[in-house]
Order: sequence, then C-alpha cells, then structure tokens
Amino acid sequence: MIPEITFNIDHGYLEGLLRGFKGGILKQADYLNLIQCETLDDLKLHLQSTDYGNFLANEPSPLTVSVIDDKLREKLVVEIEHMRIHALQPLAGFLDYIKYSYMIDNVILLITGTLHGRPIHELLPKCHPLGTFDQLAAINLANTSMMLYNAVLVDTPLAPYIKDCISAEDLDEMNVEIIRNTLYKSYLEDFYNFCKKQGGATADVMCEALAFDADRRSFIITINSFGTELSKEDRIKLYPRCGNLYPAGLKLLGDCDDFDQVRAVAEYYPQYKELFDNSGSNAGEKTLEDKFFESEVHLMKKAFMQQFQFGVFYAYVRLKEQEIRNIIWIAECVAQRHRAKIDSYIPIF
Amino acid sequence: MGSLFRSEEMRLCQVFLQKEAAYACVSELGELGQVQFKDLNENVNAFQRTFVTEIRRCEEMERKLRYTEKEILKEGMRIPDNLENPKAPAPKEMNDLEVEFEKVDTELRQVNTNNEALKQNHLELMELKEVLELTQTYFAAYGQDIQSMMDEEIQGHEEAIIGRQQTAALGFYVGTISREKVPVFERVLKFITHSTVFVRIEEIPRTFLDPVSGDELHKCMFLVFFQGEQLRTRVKKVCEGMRGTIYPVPDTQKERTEMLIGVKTRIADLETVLAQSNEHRMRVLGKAQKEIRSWTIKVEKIKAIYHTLNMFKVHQNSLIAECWFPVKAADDIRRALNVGEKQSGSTIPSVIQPMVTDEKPPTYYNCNKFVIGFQHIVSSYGIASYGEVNPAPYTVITFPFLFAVMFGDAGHGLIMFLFGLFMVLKEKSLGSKKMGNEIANTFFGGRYIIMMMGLFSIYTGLIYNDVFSRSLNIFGSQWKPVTLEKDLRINEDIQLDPKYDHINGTAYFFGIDPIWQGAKNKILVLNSLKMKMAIILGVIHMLFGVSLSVFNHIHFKNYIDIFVKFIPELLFLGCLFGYLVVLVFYKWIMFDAVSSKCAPSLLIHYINMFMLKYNTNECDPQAIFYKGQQGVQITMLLLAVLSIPVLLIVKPVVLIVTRNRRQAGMRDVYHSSDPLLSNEIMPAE
Repeated sequence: MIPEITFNIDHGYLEGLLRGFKGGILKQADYLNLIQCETLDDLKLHLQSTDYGNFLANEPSPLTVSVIDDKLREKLVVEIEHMRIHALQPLAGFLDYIKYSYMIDNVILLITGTLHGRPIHELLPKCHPLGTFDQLAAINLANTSMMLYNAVLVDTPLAPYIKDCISAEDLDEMNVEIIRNTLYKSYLEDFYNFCKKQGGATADVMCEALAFDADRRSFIITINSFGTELSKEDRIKLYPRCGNLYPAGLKLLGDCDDFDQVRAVAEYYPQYKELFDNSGSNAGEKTLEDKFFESEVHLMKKAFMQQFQFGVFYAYVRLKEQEIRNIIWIAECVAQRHRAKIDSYIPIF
Repeated sequence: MGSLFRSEEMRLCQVFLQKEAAYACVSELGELGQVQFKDLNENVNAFQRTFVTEIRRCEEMERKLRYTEKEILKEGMRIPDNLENPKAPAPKEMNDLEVEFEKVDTELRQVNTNNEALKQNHLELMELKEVLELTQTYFAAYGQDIQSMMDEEIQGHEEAIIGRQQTAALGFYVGTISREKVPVFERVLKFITHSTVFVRIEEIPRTFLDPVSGDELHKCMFLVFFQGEQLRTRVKKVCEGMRGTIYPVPDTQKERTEMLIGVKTRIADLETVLAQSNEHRMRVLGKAQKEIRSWTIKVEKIKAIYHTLNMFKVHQNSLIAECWFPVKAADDIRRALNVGEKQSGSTIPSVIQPMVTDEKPPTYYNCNKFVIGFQHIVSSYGIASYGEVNPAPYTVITFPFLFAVMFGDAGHGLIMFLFGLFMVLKEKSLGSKKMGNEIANTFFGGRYIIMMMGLFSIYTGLIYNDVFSRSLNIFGSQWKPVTLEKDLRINEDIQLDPKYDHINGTAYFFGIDPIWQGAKNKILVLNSLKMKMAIILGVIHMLFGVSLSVFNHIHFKNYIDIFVKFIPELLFLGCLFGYLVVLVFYKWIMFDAVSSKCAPSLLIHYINMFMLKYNTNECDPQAIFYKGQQGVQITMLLLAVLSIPVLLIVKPVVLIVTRNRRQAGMRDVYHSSDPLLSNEIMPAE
C-alpha cells in the first residue's frame, strides 16, 4: 500500500502540530529587528513578540547569552519530547534516530571533559537534554574504548555503532575524535538505511538530507585531518558511506593532501563545487562551514514541500538548531558590542 | 437609530496630551473603557518605542510578583481576592512599588536559600539515620555470612577473579540512591567490575522531601562489598556518577551505635532551627499574601498604560493619540481627561479634535447584562461591520423560543428556569467568586439565556401538553368516547373516531388534548403536528432574516441589491417554502373529520410539484385539491428557478461594470460608503 494513504491515521496529528511549530520559525523581518538591538533586554523584548513568547520572562535582568541559549534549547527540547511521547512507530523510531546524534555528542563531550580532568557532576548539566541517558553518568570510568563499550554503551542504542572501533588503547584526544567520527559514520549509515526502508516520500527527502550530511562530514574530516597524525587509511574508514560522494568521491578524498585537492574533488559535484567556489576565509567572504549551513537550510526548507513523510521532523530540528545558532550569534555580537559581523547569521525564511 | 440595532455611532479623534498629563489621562480613560486607540507606531520595533524602559521595569516587577505568588501557592496558602480594583498608581509611586517588591523578593530568596541549605542538611542526616539503622539490622542478620555469600555469588565468574588477591580485606560502601536509578546502578556496577562486587539494595520505607522542589523522593539504600583498592575507586566513581550519596559508616557495631545517637541529637537540633526558619518564611509570605492581588493589578495597569502610551506619536512636548470612541461617550471622555489633568497638575488642557477619515469604524454595541449573552452568541458567528443591522436584539426572543420548540417539556423547562433564576438572583455573589471551571463560567455567562429558555420551554411544554413527559388534563378532554363496557372487555385497543367520539366544534382549551397521552398513535400524530409547526416557524424565521437585509441595503444605499439580492431571495423562499406553509394551513382548515379520508398527502404533493405530475382522480391523496393548482404551482416553480440565475450572475456583472467604469475615470457610482464619509465629505462635493 502506498504509505501516503494511511499516513494521517497514525502521524497526521503530529505532522499538523509540527507544521504549526514551523510557522513559528523566525522570519527575515524578525532578524532585521533583532540585529538592531542594543542590549540583550531589547532582544528579549523582540523575541516576546514572536512564537518564543515569554520564555525569558522569569529570568532576572541582566540577561546573559548562556541563559538565552539554555532557554532556547529548552523550548526545542520540550517540543521534541512532546512529539516523541505522542508518536507511534515508525515515527517514534525516526524521532529516536534524531536523538541518537545528540547522544553521540554527549558521550564525546563527557569523554573529552573527563580527559581534561573535569568532575562528572559539573559536566552532566552541559549535556544536551535530548541525548541524555542513565548510563552517561558512569562514563568517567571509561579510559579505553573497550571500557566505554562495556560500561556505558553496551545496552544503549549506540552499542552497534561503536563496534568498529573497540580497542584496548587508552583514550586520548585523537582517539576520541576517531570514536566520534566512527560513531557518527555508523549512525548516519544506519539512519540512512532506516529511512530507505520506510520508502515513499520519507526515503526521498531523508536520503537526500542524510547524504548531504554524510558528504559534509567527509569533506570536513578530510580538511581537518591535514597536519594531524591521522593516516590516510584510517581517514578513509571514517567517511560515512551513504552520501553522493560514495564511492568514487570518497576514494578521491582519501588521497587528498591539501585543501586544493579537496576543492578539486568537489569540482566533480556541481552542488558542492558551488559551495567551495564562493567561500573563503577573507573578510566579506563566507566560510565553507557557513556555506554548508546555508545549503543545509535550503535543503531542509525543501523538505517541507512534501507531505505525508517524516523528513519534516528532521528538517524542523535542523532548522531550529540553525535558528538557535543564529540567535546566539546575534546575542553574542550584541553582548560583546561587536556589531561588525552581526549580520552573518543564516536566514531561514 | 438605536445603538443596539446598528453599532453605536463612532468617531475618530485626535487627542493631544501634555507629556506630564498623558499617564494620568490614559489611566482615567482606561478605567472608563470606552476608547480604542490606534497604533501610530506600527513600524517601530517594540524595543525602540518611547516608554520601553518603563515596560521593562514593569516586567521585572511582574517577575518578582510571580515568584512571590509561586512561593505563596507552594506553601498551600490561598491568595485572597477581595474584589478591590485599585487605580493605577502615579508614575512616582512606581519607584516605591519597585523598592517594596525588591525587598520582598530578596528577603524571600534569602530565606529560601537558607531554608534549602537547612533542608538539604536535614535530608542528609535523615538518610544517614535510616542507613545506619538498616545496616545495623543487616549486619546483625548476615554479618558473619557476607564473605561466604559473596563467594557464592561470584563463583559463576571464576575467570574474572583470577589474579585478584583473595586475601585483601573486605571493604564496603553504604549510601542512598534514588529508587528509579537502582536498576541502572546495579547493571553498571556489574559491567564495570565484572560482577566481582556484592551489591545489596534495601528500600528505605519512608519518603523524603526534595529540599528545592518539595516533591517526595523515594530512596533506596545500597550496600556494596568489594575487595581491593581498584574496585573501591570504581565503585566510588559509579556512585558519584549516579548521584548516589555515600555515607561514612564505621566498621564496628559499637561505633555505629554511637554514631546513630549522635545523628539523632543533630536531627533534633536541626529540626528546631528549621521550624524557626520556616516560621520566618511564613511571616514574609503572609505579609505578601494580603497585598499580592492588588499589587498584581496595579502593575498590570501600569504596564497597560505604558503599552498604550507607546502607541502615541511624540511631538515636542506633547503626545498625539488617535482613537475611536462612541459619540455618546464624548462627555465622559472629556471629563476623564479633565480628571487626569487635574491629578497630574498640568495647566495646559488636552485637546480632542475630530478627524475626517474614510476608514471603517469599529463596531461597538453598548449591551446591558441581559443582552450581552445573546450578543456573544451572535458574535461567535461573526461581528457585523459598522452600520450593519445587528441581529442580536431579535435573538433575545427567537433563540430561546426556537430552543423551546425543540425542548418542549414544561417540567424540565421549570427546572431549567429555576436554575437560571437562581443564577440571576445570586448574580452578585456568584459573579464575584471567580469560578475556575470553564463550563461553570459558560453557564453563568448565559444565565439570562438559560432562564429565558426555561421560561419558553414551560410555554411550549404546556402547548405540547408535556410535563415530565406526562400530560395534564386541566380543562377536561374534548373527546367523549361512546364505548360499552362489553367492548372494553373484549378489545384491548379501541379506535376512537372523531366523527362520533369528539365534541366537534370545540377543542381542548389550551394545547394538545390530553387524551393523546394514552393513544397508540400519539407519536405519529404529534410528529406530524410538530413537523408542520417546525416548517412554519422555520420559514417565518428565514423570511424575517432575509427581510432584515433590506435595512442594510437601504442604509448603505445599495438599492440595486434590493433587486438583485433581496427580491430573488424572497421569491425563491416564498415560492417554494412559503407555498408549502400555505398548503399546510389550507389542509388544516379545509379538511375535517368527515372529509379527512380524501385529504391530500402534502409530502407527495410537494414532490409532485417538482416532478410536474398532476392527478385528477377522485378522492386520492395524490389528486389536486383546489382548482387551478397546476397553473399556480408551475408559476411558483418557474419564479423560484428564475431567481437563481439572477442571484448568481447579476451582482458580479454589476461589480465588473462599475469597476471598469471607475477605472475609466468615471465618478464612483457604486460605493459602499461609510457614514462618516457620506456625512462629511459628500456635502462638500
């Protein structure tokens, strides 16, 4: 049966709710108002007139950027948790997949934190609430990836992802990065297959989005690996194999030695060529990272064009994350009175 | 024309207010509640308006009040609502309020911090006490066997303990952990130590209170036995990670007993301190409790005033406002402004200047408490635009009446009436109590409607002769059955023929004859009667509604609409359904008990009217029953059908033509003008 026909029986309510949430995403006009703010209190006052409402009303002045950050995140978390609670399978599984990426981030955050000798109870509140799970608390015991697997991840959904990089080596910065990227790689591939299995519009939208994410990771890993001890063989193992670059592009990327060679690889792919061509680190130019973000926003907006599919949920979370980044960027600029770069946020609608 | 029939006459005015008097004036106008200000700064950001600092101060005050209120409610105290409605304080007093709130807020926060620290301390001591007692019993019961129990448990994991020094002393940790974390805790401990530790979990029978939120906490005590230093650090780390608290419990029983005694005395001391601290907190809250309602109202009013002032344009030393108000209230507004000026001590009076505008004024009905309920019902379908006829006054009668036609029981109606009457009589005391229940509020808001519906239901109930679904025989039935006792004995059912058994020429004095109560065909007869009544009332109702539109057309000078909308509508309704009503009456009047055998069936007739079927058989329910029926019906049908294209086509064509003409530079002929424009601009032309 075509999934679109029966979609509304189980997921119609949540899709409707989500499209309502999407209507609350800040528009260009809102950003134009926000960048005129003189103080964070101005920012608060303007956000009050948007869907954020009085989410800051109970915070004593003077506001700080971190308070705003926490509250913005809290709002997103409440929305996502609400939807997760009301979701039925397979949407529930889909939303769980979205949460896995936060779980990976939290695991990595805690490991790096403990590596730097920070006590665990100081680190736990910094974790993203969408990705907390009980076993996280025991993470400071892990000093090898073997321990990490045994003590923390073995009965979490992340367990299958770490299988590829279990070793008895002590954890160091390099190892942590490898673990992070391996986890992410396995996660993306798993998520990709899950979406593909769903079929229909979900597969169309999500495979494109995840492919983009996978390619972005491959590019960034390559660029960041220059000048580190990461060998080419190890590097190629970190590339998620579900993007548009797979397989030929990844092979080429694996042989790259400097940024220009990466750019040469991107030449073969029109959608990425454009990003590399228009970016740079000089003043007035956008960084490659921002370019990728912009392109992601564009892709996510496109996800809303189709109905009866799960892609909108993923897209909403990504767009909201971008919006939080934007607001925090503006808030930081306002707080530090550094207005020169205030308008390098990435507009969404 | 009456203000309820159309909207109150509204006027747009510009008001020039002196800067120092503006606050007091707006406050007075706000209390009056008859003015609608226009936002003159629509394209100015919220944070760039004139009085943004004041609004921010209000928000800060609101935040403190909310905090205080939350604390009061947390304590289970009620916030008294003594119905006072304090006026907005002068701007100078705002500082005093701020200082006062600041004082309450800081005091409260300080008390709370102390309280929390004390409670946290208390919680820990209580936990320690429980833990000590539980360990005491545990060691008393199993003290000797722990080593052997542990060995037994670990036996299955032989490979894991190879290499461990069996001789190392047995160490243990005792502590508490939240009940919901127990499974994870046990599992993680197992994974981390390869099951070489011996864990015992005991649930603590009593509950504790969370020092911050005041929620109940369920905790479990854990006892972890282990061998060797390495395991000690691991176990400790797990406990820390899981937010478990480890308590230093001594090894020997004697020390434990001593410690328990010490803990108990410390708990007793702490409880006296806690009680004092609580008392202090209650004093602070009690003071705020009395005032908080009026404080909240005051702050909200200040904020509302500054919000309004933010809509004004600033011009040198004065503020310029644009506002709509009913012409009738002009004097009140003038007076309110004067009061405001006097209060602020301003010497220069404010100026009200009428403005000419082609904007459509807002609709405003000055309703009393009786009509307001009906007005709300009408408004829920849409608010009439300015100058349009307001159907609410007619609804006062039609709504309860049509309800009663459907409800139709005098007994139940009486209950409803009494319920409505009760709410109306107790209006003051009920209204002052803010009912939190949404449904109760709906009932209270519609108390006059409910009363009227009850009243009308009694009336229709008497007509249907239905009181709690029984009939009353008050005036004596007009049916006089001539039946013999013999007949009654033989037959279960007896058919009464109106030709012989009814006192013809008279009828039951009021409503339906009670004899129908016992009749087998009661439902059939009443349904037929009520159906016909429903059609008659419905058609009259619709005709009335359509007729009201004439007043709109005349008022807005849309004379053409009378011909292309009203008359076709009237024809359509009248020729089809009006005719049916006429037929109903005709049938009622023309056929009596004798001739009823040949009475026509209205339903069939009505269908035949559309099928163009005419039957001339003698005494047939399908036959025509008056002369010239065919001609009349075909004419009616034709008229009704013809009015459809008129309704659908003519108006759009007229609109297109006038628009084209206007575009061609012609003078605007067809214009749904508003009264201000027609009054003030037209004469000048």
